[in-house]
Amino acid sequence: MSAPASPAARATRRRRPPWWLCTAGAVAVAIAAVASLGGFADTPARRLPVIAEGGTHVGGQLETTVERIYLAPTRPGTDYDSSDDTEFLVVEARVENTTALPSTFVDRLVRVIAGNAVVETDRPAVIEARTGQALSFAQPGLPVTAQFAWEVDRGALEIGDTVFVGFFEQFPIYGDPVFGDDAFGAPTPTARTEGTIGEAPARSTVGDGSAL
Amino acid sequence: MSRLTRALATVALLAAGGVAIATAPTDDTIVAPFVERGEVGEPIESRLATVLVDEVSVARELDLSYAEGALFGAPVPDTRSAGVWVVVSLDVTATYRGIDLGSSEVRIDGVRYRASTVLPDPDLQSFAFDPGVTVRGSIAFELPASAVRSPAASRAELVFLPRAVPSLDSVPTVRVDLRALPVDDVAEVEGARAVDPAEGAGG
Repeated sequence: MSAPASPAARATRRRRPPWWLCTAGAVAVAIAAVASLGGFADTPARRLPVIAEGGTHVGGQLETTVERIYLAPTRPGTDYDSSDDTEFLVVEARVENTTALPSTFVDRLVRVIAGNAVVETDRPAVIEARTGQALSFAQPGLPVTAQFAWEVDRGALEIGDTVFVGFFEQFPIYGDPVFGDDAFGAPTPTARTEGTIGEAPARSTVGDGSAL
Repeated sequence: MSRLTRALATVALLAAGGVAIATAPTDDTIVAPFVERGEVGEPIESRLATVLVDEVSVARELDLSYAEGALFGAPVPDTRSAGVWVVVSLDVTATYRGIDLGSSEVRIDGVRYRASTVLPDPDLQSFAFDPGVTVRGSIAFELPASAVRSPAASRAELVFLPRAVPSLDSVPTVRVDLRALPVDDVAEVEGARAVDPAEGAGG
């Protein structure tokens, strides 16, 4: 038979709050924390910031300025005609990588909505205007003219039509099991601009025009 | 054990944990590649390839005449640069399987410049390296002109990454003084071709 508890021990046991009170307190704290952060209500949709026509989108990796939008009968980077039924919507932009690493984000940098001809999920071909080749990355500190091209039905778009251009960003993820601190999350739209389809340049900018 | 002793022990353990966390290597450090350093004209052996840099030049435009006949009438890429080209001529011998030098870099003061994809076939980046066969060719890097004029360019590094993710792999690296090199109007680019290892700079 154990010895009776001392008066001090009995007093301590009396002062300890019951388990249900601790649990209720913890739940109350959690609810207060969630409520202070906005609760479980859906975050209201926000309109993307609008960049004035000809303005520069300053992203975390790339600075992008849309310079012109036009319809081209040939695929940018080539002199090959498209099929009789299609042509190319081209968004030409100056892109500069402001980081210390080559950026491969150029292929996800821009999406457009152009009537029913191009929707935001349509991926463009990305071509460097100077070389006429696919642009796979942007070199740090070296501006490049990129042509984002979508093949559209001929006649679906006309000169003067409005094109909505969305700029995307990707944000770093730290401690990725494969890429460490060099990983990025899914692309996110961060700004938009509007442009008008204008006259195509006299000749697509492909190479220096000679052939070996 | 007194309450004070327990408190001191807890603080000591927390402090030790903090020191351990603060001094722990980062993920990048843990999987960092092993740098195999060498000089221009000196073969550098790594796990996947042996690399010998023959020459480094700087120019505003590339001479791609090596591709004559290989473009099948396609236009020559315009290589007039708003910056400069760093052209590296080298011999590469894969050790035991194919490699991909497309992720190779010039590094200046922590900034990493990737090899350009502008070179037409046959170039080193698209070449199928068979183990044991020495291949000669060029890799071109396009950089801002300010980068090669900066003081840090005197300690530029050519880093030949044999695969895109070189974690824990050995990587041939050559230090060059880009600032000391003249900026030519045009730099000749060598098309990739298999050579006898005893030939020229590689021999």
